[in-house]
Amino acid sequence: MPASDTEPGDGAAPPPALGYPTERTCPFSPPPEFARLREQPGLPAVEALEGGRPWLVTRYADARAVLGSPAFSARFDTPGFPLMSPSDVQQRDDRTESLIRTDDPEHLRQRRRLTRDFTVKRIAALRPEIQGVVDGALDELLAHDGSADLIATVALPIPSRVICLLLGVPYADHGFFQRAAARALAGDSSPDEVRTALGELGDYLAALVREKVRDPQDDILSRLATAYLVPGEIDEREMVTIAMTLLVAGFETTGNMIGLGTALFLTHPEQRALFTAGDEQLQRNAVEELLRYLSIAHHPRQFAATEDVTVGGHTVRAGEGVLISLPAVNRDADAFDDPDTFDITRPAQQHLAFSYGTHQCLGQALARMELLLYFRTLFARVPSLRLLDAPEDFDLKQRSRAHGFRSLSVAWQEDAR
Amino acid sequence: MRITIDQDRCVGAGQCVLVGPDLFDQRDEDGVAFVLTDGPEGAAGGPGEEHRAAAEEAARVCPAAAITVAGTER
Ligand code: HEM
Ligand code: SF4
Repeated sequence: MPASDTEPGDGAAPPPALGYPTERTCPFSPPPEFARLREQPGLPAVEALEGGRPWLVTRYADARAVLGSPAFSARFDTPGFPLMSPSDVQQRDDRTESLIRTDDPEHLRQRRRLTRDFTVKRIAALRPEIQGVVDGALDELLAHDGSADLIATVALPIPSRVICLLLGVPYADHGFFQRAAARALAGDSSPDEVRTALGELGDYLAALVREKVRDPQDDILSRLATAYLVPGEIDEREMVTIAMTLLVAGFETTGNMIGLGTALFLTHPEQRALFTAGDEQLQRNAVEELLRYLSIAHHPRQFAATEDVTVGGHTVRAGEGVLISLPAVNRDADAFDDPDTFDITRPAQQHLAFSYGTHQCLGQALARMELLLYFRTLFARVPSLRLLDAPEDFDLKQRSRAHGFRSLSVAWQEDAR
Repeated sequence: MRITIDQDRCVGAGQCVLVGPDLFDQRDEDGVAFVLTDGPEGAAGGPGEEHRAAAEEAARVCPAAAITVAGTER
């Protein structure tokens, strides 16, 4: 019986907990249930697999307050931490470690080992290489006979190739690690399936890391191995965890943004026209608006309070869980005018699609660069691009931690392109 | 205008550099942000007032709330 069920001085039985909202009515927008919850005072209680009944945050200001506060722990083993999927249960039971599930100051100590490879300057220097990957993927798309699946030909290959290039992972193995990562992350994988997938990925990366130690190259894994593994600051297990985090975080997310963003532009021709006519500053802003509007990280952010904190007029007690819906937060009218309109000219920089606080996305500069170069190049090279399916027939991922297409059929005119 | 960064809190996300490339940069060795002192004029008083909007936007989007903007007119 979770201690969180009653408020002090409140004798009435609490309302039953909601299931975490997942029913979308529009492929580009969060479940409408969130809009209703955002209007209610306080915080609703939500069902969790384990860890009591966490409170759900849907307002922008509340989300920033939680994400920016050291009173909330992201560790699986903090009392009250809400477990939302079999993958969570498995990772808690196996004491799987990862950057995302670590608290400061330890978290920042680990993160600082990685930040130098993802700075704005470092990523800007990689622009020619990333452009090369984008060009190559579009060559492959156009080699098809006037129509293709955008996800398999472009959306996954671009971020996979880029992260392989940066990390020093052979791209030839992408089929293997994409499947393993998908199984590890799928909402409906059993704990055993998750364990097997993570085990296979771990063995693969351990072998790769040993190779980097033997024969270091000019890539991130070699640099990390040389700087931290060889001198013994981290052991092989920690090194493999880092490699897995960077590899897995780096492609599915960006791939989802490429697929959904393309479909969003193609269903909003006036925004697409603005984008293609715009300068790079507008195009950069358009990427921020895509990130805000689509908010593909739809699995909730999960925390446990380590002290009593008031959020949205509601006291969250130490030992209670909190969930945050980033898609809901990014559609809050108190933070964005007319939030349900896709408008690439609006100020969107303060969106929380990369989250906020100490865990804000490490790879954000890279993701932004990939998306900018992709959309610029796509519309310049394939102006006749169109969708083959109506939005109600879209092939969306079901029960995945990140929102996106499984496949997306597109077509273009061979001669005009 | 005086801009300060609490470097112990910085998580190296680089939002400040995106919003105010004339005001901020990140250290090569660990991505921690710093204020460009040899950047925009304003000499000892820090960057000139024309950079205030960018500085305040950076303070607002910084995920670690590590940036403070202070000094003279508001
Ligand atoms: C558009 C694409 C992307 C989106 C929407 C995205 C979103 C996010 C979000 C929401 C978080 C916070 C996780 C949490 O609090 O639970 C995060 C963390 C992270 N992201 Fe991304 N991400 C993207 C691309 C990338 C890329 C390309 C990388 C490349 C390595 C990356 C690496 C990471 C890492 C390592 C973390 C953990 C940071 C920490 O815990 O300190 N992401 N990302
Ligand atoms: S925005 Fe904040 S956390 Fe990010 S680099 Fe700048 S000072 Fe550091």
